[in-house]
Order: sequence, then C-alpha cells, then structure tokens
Amino acid sequence: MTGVFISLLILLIFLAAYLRDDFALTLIYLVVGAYVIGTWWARRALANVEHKHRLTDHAFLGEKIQIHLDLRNKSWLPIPWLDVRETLPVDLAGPMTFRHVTSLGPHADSHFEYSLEARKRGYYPIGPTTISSGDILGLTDSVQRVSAARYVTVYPKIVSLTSVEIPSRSPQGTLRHVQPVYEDPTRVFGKREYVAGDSLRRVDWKSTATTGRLQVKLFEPSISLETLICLNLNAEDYYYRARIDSTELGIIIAASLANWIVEKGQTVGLKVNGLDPLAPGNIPQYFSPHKGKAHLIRMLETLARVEVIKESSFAAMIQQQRYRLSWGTTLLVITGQANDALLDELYQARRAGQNAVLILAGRNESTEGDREKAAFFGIPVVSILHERDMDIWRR
Amino acid sequence: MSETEFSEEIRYNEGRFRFVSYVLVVLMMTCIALTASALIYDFFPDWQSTVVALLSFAFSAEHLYSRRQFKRLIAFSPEWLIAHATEWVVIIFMVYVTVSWSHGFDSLWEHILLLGRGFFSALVYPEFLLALFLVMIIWTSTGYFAELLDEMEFEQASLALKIAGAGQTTVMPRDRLVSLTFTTGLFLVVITALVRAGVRELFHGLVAPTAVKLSLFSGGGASTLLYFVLGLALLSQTQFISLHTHWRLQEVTISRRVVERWIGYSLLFFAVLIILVGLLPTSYSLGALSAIGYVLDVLLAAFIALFDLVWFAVLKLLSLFFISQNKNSPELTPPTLSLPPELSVPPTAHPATPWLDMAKSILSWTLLLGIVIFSLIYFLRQHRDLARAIRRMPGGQWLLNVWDWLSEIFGGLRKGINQIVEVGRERLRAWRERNDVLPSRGFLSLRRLDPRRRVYYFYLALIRRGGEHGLPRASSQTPYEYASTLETALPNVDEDVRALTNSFVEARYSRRAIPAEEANLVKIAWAHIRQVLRNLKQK
Repeated sequence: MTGVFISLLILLIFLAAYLRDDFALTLIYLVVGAYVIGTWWARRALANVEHKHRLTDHAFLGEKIQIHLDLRNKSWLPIPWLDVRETLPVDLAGPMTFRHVTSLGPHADSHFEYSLEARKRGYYPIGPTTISSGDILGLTDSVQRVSAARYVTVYPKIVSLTSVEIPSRSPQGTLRHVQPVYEDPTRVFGKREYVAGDSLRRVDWKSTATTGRLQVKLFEPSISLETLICLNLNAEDYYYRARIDSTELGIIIAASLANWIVEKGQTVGLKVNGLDPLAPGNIPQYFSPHKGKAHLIRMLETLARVEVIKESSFAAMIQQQRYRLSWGTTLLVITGQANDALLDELYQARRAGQNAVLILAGRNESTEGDREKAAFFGIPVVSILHERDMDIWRR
Repeated sequence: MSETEFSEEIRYNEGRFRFVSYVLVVLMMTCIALTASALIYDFFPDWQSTVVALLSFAFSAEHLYSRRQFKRLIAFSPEWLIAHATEWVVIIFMVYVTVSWSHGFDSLWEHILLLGRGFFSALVYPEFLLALFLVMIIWTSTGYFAELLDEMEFEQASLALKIAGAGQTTVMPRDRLVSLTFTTGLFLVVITALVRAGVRELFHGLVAPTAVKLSLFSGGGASTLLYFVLGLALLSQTQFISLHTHWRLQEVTISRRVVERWIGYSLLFFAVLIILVGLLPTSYSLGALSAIGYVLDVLLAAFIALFDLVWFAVLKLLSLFFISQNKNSPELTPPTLSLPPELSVPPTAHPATPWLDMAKSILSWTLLLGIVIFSLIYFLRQHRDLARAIRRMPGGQWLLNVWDWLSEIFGGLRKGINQIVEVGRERLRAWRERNDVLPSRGFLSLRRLDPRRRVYYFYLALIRRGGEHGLPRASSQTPYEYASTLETALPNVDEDVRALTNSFVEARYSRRAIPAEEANLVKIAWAHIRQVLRNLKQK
C-alpha cells in the first residue's frame, strides 16, 4: 500500500509542478489530507480518552469482584471505534476475557461492567488495559495506549475454629485455663470456708460478716495468649509431590489460627519467609503481636500475597525473631517438615520460657520421624494432612 | 435482545455496508469510464461520453448482481459456460445497440442493416470497439473489487483462516483493495494529465503541452477527483467491514453504536476534508509550483540538449562516412542549449493586497515542502534497506550525514518550541491558579467555595492570624518550615498545624481531588489552632 501511495504522491507533485495545474494540487491536498487528518484524528481522540476502574480491591474467597470500567471522551472529536481489552488473571476469570469495541461521541461516556470470582487467594493484576483506535479510512496502523494494571487481593481461606488448645505461660489473661497456678484474682467464681493454710488476702470479709464464718474467694485460673505464627514457605521443606497443596494448606492454617486468636481478643503476630511482591526486597513484613481486626486484616493481606521461596533457612528466621518476643509467648510454627536445626531452635525457645507448637502441614514422608524427634524435645506436634484435619480444632 | 436477533442484526448491518460499498464501486467505475472518455473524446469528437458512462454504470451494477448468482455454479461447468456466454452476448448486443442509437435512430437502423449484410464487418467499427473495450475493462475491474469485498466478509474470512491455519499470515484483502484503488487512481491521474496537457495537440505538434489551461473540473478533472473521493469513501466502508470481520473472528463484543455511527463519522470526516481542500490555495502569484516547474523545465532542457549533443556526434561521425562517399553532404550545425523563458509571475487578481499573495505563497511553500518532507520520511521509514544502500554509495554517507544533521536541527527546533510552549503553558496555569486561589473582592462565602479553596482559605487564615500573634511567616519560608515554627510556639496544637499544612500542600501542589471530608477536618484543625491563638492573646 505504501508503495502505491508514495508513487501516487510523487507523480502528483511532478504533474503539479510540470503542468502548473491546480487539479494535481487539489488531488495532493485530498490524498495527503485524508492521511494526515485521519492520523491526527485517531491520535488526538485516543489521547483524550479517559478511563477509570471502579472495583473492590480486596475480596474474601468465594466472593464476586465487581469491576466497573468507565470510558470518557474528553474532547469534541468523536471516536469512531475504540477497542478496549483487559488482561485478566486466569485464576479469577477462567476462560472469560474482556474485550469490547465501542464508539464514543463528543464528550460521551461509556460504561462496562463485569465480575470475577475470587477462587484462589493471591494478589492479582486486573489489566493492563489496552485501548486502541485508528483512522476511519484505515490508511495507517491503529494506535494504542496501554495503562497500568490495578490489583486485587484475595484473602486466604479462613476455617472457623472453636477450640484450639495453645499452651501459654502468660498469667491473668482472658482465656480460661485448667492449671490453678494461673489463678486470676479478678475472676472470682465462688467462695468456700476457710481452711488452714489459706492466705488471708483471699478472705472475703463481707461474706464472712454475713455468714459469721470465715469465707475465702475462689479464683478462676486464666491465661493471656501472646502468639507469633511462624509460617515456613521454603519450597524444600515441603514434600515435592504435594508442594503446592501443602504450602496453601499452611497458609490456610496460619490465617485460620490468626483469625481465631484475634476473635478471642488475644495478641498475635506473623512472620513468613516467603516472597511478597509488594514488600521491599520481596521480604514479607514482620507483624509483631497485636490485637484487633485491623491488625488481622493486615496479616491476611500479607498471607494473600505471599509466594513460595527457594532456599530460605526457616530455623535462622525463628532464631532472629524469638529474641524480640517476651517471656511466655507461644510460637506456632507451621512447616512441611521439621529438621534438626528447627527442632533445636524450638527447644531453645522452650528453655527461654517461650512455648512452641509444631504444626506439620500437608503430606510428608518423614512426619512420623518428626513427631518422635519433637516429642523427644518436648514440643507438641499437630499434623494437618488435609483441610478436614483442622476439625480437631472445631470440636 | 436475544442472541438470534443480535446475529440477525449483525447480518443486516453487514448487508447494509456491503450494499453501500457496491454502490460506491459502481460509481467509481463510472468515474473511470468518464475519465477515459475524456481522453478518447480528444481524438474522436463524436465520442458519446455520457452513453458510455451509462453503459459502464449499468454493466458494473449487472456484474455485481450476477456474480452473486453465478457463484452457485461450478467453474467451467456447462451451466457456468452458458451463463457467462449469454451474459457476454447480451453485453455486446447492448453496447452495439446503445452506441449506434446514441447517434440517432437512423444510425441504429443503418447499423442493423449492416449487421444483416455482414455480421463481422458490421461489428468492426472503431467507436463500438472502443466502447466495448472500455466496458470490458470496467466489467473486469468491478469483478476485482467485488472479489476483494467478498473476501473481507466474515464467512469467507473465517474459511480462509481455517484453510491457512492458525498463525499463517496472508496478504489482507483490504490491503489489496487499497492498493487496487490507488493504482487505478494512478492510471486515472496519468490519463487526466494527458488530457489536461492537451495530448491531441501534442501529437499533432500544435502547441506546447503546458500552454493548455483548463478549469479544475474539465478535461477529466471532475471524474478523477470524484473517483478519489468515492475511493476514500469505499476505504472507509471497507475499513469497517474489515474491522467488523476481524472482531467477529476474535469473538469480541461489538457495541451497536459503532455500526450506527460509522457512516455519520465518515461523512463528518469527508466534510472536514473537502472543506480543508477547498480552503487551501491552488492558484497564486508567487507559486511554489511555478518555481519547481521552472527547475523541471531547466532539467528537461538540459536533458534535450544532452540528447541533441549525442545525436550531433553520431551524425557527425556518419557525415564523415558520407564525405568519403559523397562530397555534397549536408552541413551540420552543433546544438545549442535552449533554456526555458525566465520565471514569470502571473498577474495577481488582487494587486491591492500584496500581503495576501505573500501569505498564500508562504502557505503554499510550507504545504509543498511539508508534503515532500513527509513523503521522504515516510518512504525512508518503510524502506530501511534503501537507506543502507544509499550509505554504501559514493557520497551516500555524506548525503545521509546531511540528512541526519538536518533532522537533528529540526528535532532540536521542535523540542525547543515544545519546551517554550510547555513553559508558557505552565506559567499561564500558575498565574491562573495564583489568581484563582481565592476570589479577590466581595463577600466570601465559605459554603460556596470548593473543598480545595476552603483548604486554601484556612491556611491563609492561619498565616494571617499567626502574623497577628507574633508568629509571622517569612517570605523565604516554605509551608513546612513555617509549620515547624508554629509547632515550636504552639506545642498543644502541633498535630493540627501539621495536618493543616499537609492538607494545604496537597491541595496546592497536587492535582488530586480534595474531598469535602478533608476540608471539614482542616476546618476542625483550624478551630483548635484559632482557640489556642486566642488564649495566647488573652494571656
């Protein structure tokens, strides 16, 4: 096409010059004008197209993510055709694609709406959005504009837990306990008659005055729970055949436990050794133990984004963290398998007055061996092969 | 609307666009016939241009209609051969009758009688043969155009894609259509140029070719111009068909508005184009074309002189041979270079307004140079091998260096102008914003101010009140520097000062929309600060 177009143009210029003829010049204007106006129109119109996404950028698993795309032509130049394409994540969109062709009049708007399903936790780009247009004669290639993607965070699955037994050595909290050593003087649950050896501080003077005999208060033992969830996402620490499922299960366990602890009004922190695409250096943020829903949501966001890492020492990470933690803190260690270095580190934590619970997530060939070794060090072990095994915390 | 109804609508729209394209093709073919007739008319003054144009119109339309019917037939089957043979017999007969009848009923009767006497001899007469030849060309060209239009349709395109297989690339039918339209246009331009140059007179050696001056629309000018306008309209239609097919193949959702508005926007485009072409200067006194034409004349004269020189040398050699044979050989005179007459400036229609002529001339020079430079750049971009070949040629490197140098200069110039414009715009914007910070006069209603201006207002109030309480803002202080001064002096409201300053900086220097809630928070912060300032005054 180019060859003919240029040949025609050269011929016309020569004819116009040689014949001094306004016919040739008019034709030059017509041909070049069609090309120039067409190109200018397409570029100018596209430059004035404004697009805006409206979407809920956070969703829980199973929720529908509604995406609204508004296009607006800011100029008086109409746009004959506008091809709008969005690259969508397969995990959310499946086979669905978003591609629409529309036309925008002067200062006109266009609105598109579609929905994605939050099928899998993760941090997903919605886009980039490619908008292309072209001249009405098709003499030039279409022009396109690519705009940055928007991101959606899908939180990990949270299994609702009811009865998780997490050891703690922090007295006087809000959780009931069975060991009388953690009696809480603020939680009076009854009275009995004084027996020799009872502390005079326990005497309830009002009841004594009423009954005429010495009465002592009975206190309910309670603990407070300060927990740090340590999640191992080092690929080599999971059985290679079930690596993807096991790491995902580990994330579900971490999210569910964090949710349960926050619901109980206790403090919980999180440390993960995976990769976080948003964090500086891709190192996931460390969350020191805190209470509250907002804190939980921040942790869930990190758990939504984290990915498996290669070659990361989990034991070394725990060693670094445990010095920051106070006495009595419980370490909930979620991993695929426990090597000697990790068990040694957990043993050292126990000796330093912290509690440690080892949670083995997913299938592993060495589960029984790990159990025996952990029992030797006095570390409780919970093995969760499948999601349904979490029912032990729901009875 | 159900899927079936939507499919029907798509089919209806495709049919509508196809019909418009066919109409355009028929009209373009008629224009070809008219331009060709203008050339033939120069040689045969009896030539009936209108009749031939009508014949072309009719047979072009007939071809478009009948090829749909004939498509069902198997190629070269007896039915196919009969159908085509009968079609051509009808065409020949109709052309014969119409051309004969165009000179009157007597002429038709005479030709019929001739036909009765001798079939072949009656058919062989120049006017009929020329008309038949032209109709054949039109008929075949219509076929080419129709074939390409059919290839662009969804059914054929999807079939072609299946045959070619995924990932195979073929030359797109639309590209071929564009080439065909422009190539045909190229021929028409040559024909029109020949007519307008007075080819008949040139043949008979009556006048110089450039001496013939015709109006814009005579000598095939109107039909050729119309051909190009219709051609561009066809390109617009086929662009839609091509895009529509492409989108349908990719299963893209197409808005109904695209279909509804396409023709309207095409018409708008052509209106703008035609107005622009109509406004641009085509005849002027200090014309750029005259200058280029003069250069061309000089080059032509030099070429003719060179040719004469060679011819003279050959004759001289031959004359030497003749001298040896015959002493009475003719005398030979050496050729002389006859330069064209000096560049004459045609008299202007408006001698009282020389500045207008000057403006027109500048515009025409700019346009012409722009077109030439645009063509060169476009051509070199498309033919990068050519640039490499030029570089290898002796002196080519030097030429390209000059080109690069010029590109650099113009690029720098363009950048400079852009920068100046940008700086000017920025200054204008800043000046406008400075003036728009707050209304300068009259009663100020806070409710009527937008959130951004309300933030400005509270910050300006802070500066004013701060100054009144012995905490003036130095002109050299940035908002943050002034905030730190206030924070030291008013530790009770340091957070409010910081919040107010941050909001002001954001409102002043960012283009982010300021929500009303933010302006309300700023108002609360300002209320705290004002209270502290009042207490300070009472103490």
